[in-house]
Amino acid sequence: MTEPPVLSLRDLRFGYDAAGPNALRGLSLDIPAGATTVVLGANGAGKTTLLHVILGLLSPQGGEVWIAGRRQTDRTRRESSRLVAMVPQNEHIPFDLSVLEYVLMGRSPHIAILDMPSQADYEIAVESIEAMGLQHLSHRAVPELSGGERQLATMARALAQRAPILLLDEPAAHLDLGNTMRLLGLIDVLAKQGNTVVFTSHDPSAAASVAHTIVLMRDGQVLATGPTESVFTSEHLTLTYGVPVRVATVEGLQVVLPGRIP
Amino acid sequence: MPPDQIPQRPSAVRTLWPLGVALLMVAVLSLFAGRYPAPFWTPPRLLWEDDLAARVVWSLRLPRVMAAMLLGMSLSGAGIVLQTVFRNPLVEPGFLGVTQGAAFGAALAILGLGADASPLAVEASAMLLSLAGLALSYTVARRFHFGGWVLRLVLGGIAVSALFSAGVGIIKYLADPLADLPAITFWLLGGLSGTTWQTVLHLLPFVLPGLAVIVVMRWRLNLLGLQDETAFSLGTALSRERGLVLLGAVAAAAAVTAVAGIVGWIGLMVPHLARRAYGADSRIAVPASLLIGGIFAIACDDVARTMFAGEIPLGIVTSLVGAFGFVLLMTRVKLWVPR
Repeated sequence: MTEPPVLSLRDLRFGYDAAGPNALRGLSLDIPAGATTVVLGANGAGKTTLLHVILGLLSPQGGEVWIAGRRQTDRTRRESSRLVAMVPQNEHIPFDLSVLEYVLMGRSPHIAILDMPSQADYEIAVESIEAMGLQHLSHRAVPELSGGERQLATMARALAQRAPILLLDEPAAHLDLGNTMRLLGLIDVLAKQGNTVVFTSHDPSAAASVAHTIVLMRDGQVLATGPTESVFTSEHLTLTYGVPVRVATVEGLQVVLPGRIP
Repeated sequence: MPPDQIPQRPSAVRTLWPLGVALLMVAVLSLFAGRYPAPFWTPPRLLWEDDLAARVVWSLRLPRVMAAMLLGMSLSGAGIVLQTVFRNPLVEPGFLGVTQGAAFGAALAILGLGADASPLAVEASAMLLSLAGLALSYTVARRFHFGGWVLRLVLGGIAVSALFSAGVGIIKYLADPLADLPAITFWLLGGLSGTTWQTVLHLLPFVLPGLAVIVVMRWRLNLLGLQDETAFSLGTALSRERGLVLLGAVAAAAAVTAVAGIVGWIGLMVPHLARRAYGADSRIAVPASLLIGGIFAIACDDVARTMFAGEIPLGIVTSLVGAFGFVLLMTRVKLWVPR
C-alpha cells in the first residue's frame, strides 16, 4: 500500500456552539484510496460531524481537509460534488417524488445549472436503481417506501453521482439482516472497483466483515486506527464504547460480544 | 433493463398542452363575459358593430384578463417555490412578510393621501413595503441565534408579518370611518377593479423575470427542496440558489399583491392540485401550477365582475370557490391516484 491517502485530515477542530471546538478536538487521520474504512464510536463521539467536515458542509475551526491531493477549500462546490458523494443518516423527502426522480437528482453534479437530466442521465439512474435491487419500485413515491427501501434509494441516489469517494452515515441503520448483507456486499464491490468508501456504523461485527481500515473515535479524537486485524481488539473496543466487550472469532469472522450488563 | 425500457424524459409541452389550451380558451371566453351590454355575455359580433363594446373588450377586459392571469400565475408559482424550498406543504406566498407588508403600504398610502389617492401611489407604496417586508424578514432571520435556515426564515417572516398586521390594525383604527376605512377594507379584500393597460405594464417588469427564473430553474427546484446535507453534497450553492428562486417568486407575488390586494388561497391550493394531478417532480409541477393558477384566477375574476352589478372583491371569490372546490376535489373526485 504505497498509494498516497485519498483523504488526509490534519488537526481538525470543530464545535457547534460558542463553547469551543468540542465535537472534533484536533483530529488527524489518513484514509487510504480504493478501500473501505469504517468509523466506529459511541453516540456523540463525533462520527457524523467528521463526515460533514470531510463533505465541506461544516467548516472546521482549525485544521485542513485534503482530498485527492488538494485542499478541500480549493475546489468549487460542483467539483467537490463530482468527487465526494454522501448518504445521510435519515433522508426525509416531504413530497411524493418517485424513486427514479429522486435517484436522478444524483446526476446534478454533472448537469449544468439551467439544464435538465439527459437520456444518458436516465440510463445511469436506472443502473443505480438496479444495483440496489429497487427496479420494481422505480415509480413508487419515496415517502411511501419502508425505512429500509428508502435507505437503499438514498444509496442509489449516491451511486448515480458516480463519485469515487462515498461517505455513508450509518447506511445499514434501517436495514434488515438480508438488506444489510446485500449492502455490505455492494460496498465491497465498490471498493474493489477502486472507490473509497468511508462509513460510520453502530454494528462493529458487520462493519469488520468488510472494512480494510478501522477508525475508532472517542470524544472527537481518533482513539486508534489501522488495518482491521490490528485495531479490532477487545481492549480497543472496550475503550471506545466504555463498556466491557469481547472480540471472538467464529468461523473466520470477527464478532463482538457484549460483556455482562452492568 | 433493455434500452427500450429506459423511461423517457418527461416533457412539459407533451404533458401540459391541454392545460395550455384550456388557459387560452378561458382567457378568450372571458373577454366576452361581463355586464355590457347585458349581464353575463357580450356577443362577439358587437366587436365590429358597437364601438363601446369594442372599447370595453380591448381596453378594459383584455388588460384585466391578463392581469388576472399574471396574478394567478405569480401566486401559484410563488406558492410552489416556497412550499418546496421550505419543505412544507402548508406555506403560501405571503409567508415572508410580503402580503402584510403590501397591506400596510396600501393602508398607509390611503390614510396619508385619502380615499381618492391615485391607484399608482397606493400600488407603489404597497410594492415598496412588500419588498421591505421581504428584506426585513430576511434580516431578522439572519440575526436569530436559533434553529436551522428554514426555521429562522419562517420565524422571521411570521414576526415581520405580525408587525405589519399590527400596523394595519392601527391605521384602520385611526382612519376616517366614512371615507378611508372602506377604501382600506376594499383593498384588503383584494380585487382587480380599475385594471388598465398601465396596471399590466407595472406588473410585467417584476412578474416576467420572476416567473422566468422559476421556470428555467424548475428541475433544480427539486434539489433545493432536499435536506441541506444532501443538496449540498449534490453540488448546489444552497443559499445562493435558494435565494435566487425565492427572490424571483416573491418579487412576482409582491407585484401582484401591490396591484390586487390580498388574494388568498391560490398560492396555497394550486400547487397541491398541480402536484396531485401531475406528480411532485417540479419539471412538470411548476409549469402545471402556473397554468392552473392562471385559469383559476381568470375564472374567479370573471365571477367577481359579472355575477352582480357591483363588483365582488376577488379575495372573497377565490377563498369561497377555492375552499369548496379544494375540499370537493380532494375528497370526492377520484381523478387522481389515492395516496
